[in-house]
Amino acid sequence: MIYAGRTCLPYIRVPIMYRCQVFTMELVYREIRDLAAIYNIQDKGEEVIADLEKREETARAKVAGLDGKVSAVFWFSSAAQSDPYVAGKNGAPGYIMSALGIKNVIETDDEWPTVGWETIAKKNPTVIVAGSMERRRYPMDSLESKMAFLESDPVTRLMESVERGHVFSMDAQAMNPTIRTIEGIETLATAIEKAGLAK
Amino acid sequence: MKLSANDLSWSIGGTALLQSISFDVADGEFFGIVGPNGSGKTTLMSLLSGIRKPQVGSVTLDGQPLSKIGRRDVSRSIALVEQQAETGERLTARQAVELGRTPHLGAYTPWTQVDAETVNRALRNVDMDHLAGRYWHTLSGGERQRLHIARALAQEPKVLLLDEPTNHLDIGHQIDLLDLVGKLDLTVVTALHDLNHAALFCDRIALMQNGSLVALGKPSDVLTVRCIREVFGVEAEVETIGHGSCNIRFLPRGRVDLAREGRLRAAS
Amino acid sequence: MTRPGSPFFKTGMVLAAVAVLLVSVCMGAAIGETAIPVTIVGQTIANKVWGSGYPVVPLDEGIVWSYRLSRAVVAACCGSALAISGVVLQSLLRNPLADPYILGISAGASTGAVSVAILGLGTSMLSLPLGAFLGALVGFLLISLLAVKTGTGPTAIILAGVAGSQLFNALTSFIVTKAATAEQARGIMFWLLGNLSGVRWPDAYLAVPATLLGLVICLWHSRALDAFAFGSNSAASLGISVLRTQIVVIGASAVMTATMVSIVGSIGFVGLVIPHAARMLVGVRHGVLLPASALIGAVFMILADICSRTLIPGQVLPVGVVTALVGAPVFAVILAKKRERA
Repeated sequence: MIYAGRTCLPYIRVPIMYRCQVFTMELVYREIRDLAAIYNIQDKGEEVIADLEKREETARAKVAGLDGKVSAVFWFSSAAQSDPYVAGKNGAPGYIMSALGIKNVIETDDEWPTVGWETIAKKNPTVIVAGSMERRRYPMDSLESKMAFLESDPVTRLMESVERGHVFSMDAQAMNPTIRTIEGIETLATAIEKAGLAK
Repeated sequence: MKLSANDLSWSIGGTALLQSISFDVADGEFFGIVGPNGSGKTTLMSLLSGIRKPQVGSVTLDGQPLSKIGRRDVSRSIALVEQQAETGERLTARQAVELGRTPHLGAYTPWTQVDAETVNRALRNVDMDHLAGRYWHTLSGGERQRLHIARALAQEPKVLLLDEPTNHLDIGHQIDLLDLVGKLDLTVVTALHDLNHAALFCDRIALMQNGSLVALGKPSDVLTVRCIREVFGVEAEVETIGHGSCNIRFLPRGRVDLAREGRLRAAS
Repeated sequence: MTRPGSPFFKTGMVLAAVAVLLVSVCMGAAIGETAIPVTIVGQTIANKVWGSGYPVVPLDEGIVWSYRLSRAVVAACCGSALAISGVVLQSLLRNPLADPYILGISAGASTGAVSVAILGLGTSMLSLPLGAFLGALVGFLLISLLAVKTGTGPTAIILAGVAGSQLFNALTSFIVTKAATAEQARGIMFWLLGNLSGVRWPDAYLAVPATLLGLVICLWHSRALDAFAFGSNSAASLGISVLRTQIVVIGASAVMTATMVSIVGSIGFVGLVIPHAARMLVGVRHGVLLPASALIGAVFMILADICSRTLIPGQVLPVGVVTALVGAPVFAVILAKKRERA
């Protein structure tokens, strides 16, 4: 199993991924600095970091007025029609959401807990961020099947975010703790601005 | 009802367990099958009851082969008490005997007073009615054996097949049982290991050895000194009693016949 | 065997059983991941069942009706089906450890499911359950053939089942190891442990008839099943067609179980433990044991599903974990009580 950061609970048989330290881009920047130091190209490293920070700033500016009025749930995938794997507080999606001032409706510390659609529907997130990916291992991997599910399921189609079309796609890679998290921030900020939610 | 074995044969993996067995059992007869272990008695009983189909030959009931009669009709006429039958279920004695009514009840025929009465009668006949409420696993081997017989009696068969029914029973119950079974208005075919019991109760005896029928007739005709020596490998003295019956006195092997010596000395 | 008391007693028991079942299903509709007041639950059911026009928020109505109620109904069917299968297999195979999966149904279903999910044989969303169902039947048939070849008698059947299940499980592990990522492994494990989450009304339309049909077939054979108490020879001498009974009853149980496994995955312990619990409560007569097991299984499964959703707030446990957590200690207690009595 993959662990990120420190684990605070011993490994138990049902595989869950725990993160106790909240993820921030600082962790990625630190890795970049370390790599740059190894290859003795520290100034190049600082360039990359500066560029990433600037992109993050630009994205934040787009949605400056939000301040917790918008809530979201990040949906990675589901095994068949069963409960979805959604993002908890401490992973990369958590960082994306806090960077943009968006409230995560999922409040557990697990990185990708399994939460029932009933719970998600009742929490009524303003926005659903659906992961898109190339792999086709689970029936719900593809963006199309996620959208089809949201629109056909008797409960999810009643959700405000689905009815108003506030279901945004994001590359699943950006939901992971990498450089591409910045991409995720940009994608989501653009989508929120375009949907007119940023006022 | 007349039960007949016609040229029955049965083999497994090349070994012949039964070879060309033929005999008729007359209506109401008490027919015994004796022979050492491995002579094929149990195999023969399973063929006679219709549980196994003979590879060669047939078993007929009043002329009709068993294979042509339906399973349920066969079991309304023939009841078998196996040598060993155990259960892991938590049955009471009464419930075990009630199973005997199965051939007479369809999938959802309701249980009637007649069924209850038959079961009670069967329990009384084997002297187990005072233990009817006890659980099976709390009963002794002999008590369980009597319940097996009660179950067979509850089937109200015309032919009763018993495979060594007197195992595990103490002598009083052994005699009671054979007495009871003999008095019932049934045809009885029983495999017995005790030759004296066979001689005392059976109208006719079939003597088996290695899957073949070596003798058939009244006890006194079959259980001769020579037959006993050749089939069972044991020395005996046979005293004929009336009605074809006899009394067999076994002689211990390897010791001089003390009693005989004693009589000779007394005579001389 | 004698029936207890009068027709009134019997009717009373049947009515009580139906009432218990209805109450459990309603509990399944009323209790869930989020708190929905009971009055709203009642109003929703009234609206949907006899069209009374209570004003209910559509989201609540959808949750109660499309999610919770359908899931409760399928849970009841699953619990019943597994319990009934457990009873008949334990009776026919004369082994108290027999469970519905002993003839390779779960193992075959897993192989079918991973073949579809991971190897990607067939990609539409429908094909996962179908793959599982076909896998279950293929597994069952292959193992039955193996059993017939290795000889008659319950031991041969059980050995064939164990060997065949091991083979299919190995196949499943192989596919999962070679092809799956950690994410997939987690997902398949979730499925293998059993999962009532994706259940909607179309699944209930399949589960209910399958369970009722299986129950009726097994009930029809209850006298025959009773006769197996002392073995198949004894049953034959009591006039039961041994082979026909075994084929029909085991076949019905296999189809019923395969249907359930394809809808909800393999949920363990129910088929093993509920028959023993039922036997302790109502005795061994199959005419009573089968309906009692069905009822207890249904209620147990509904409660297990409720627990799987409410034990950890905001998260869902696989229901197979709950049944194992409850089933294992209950089984231990049953065994202990049996030893006391014996």
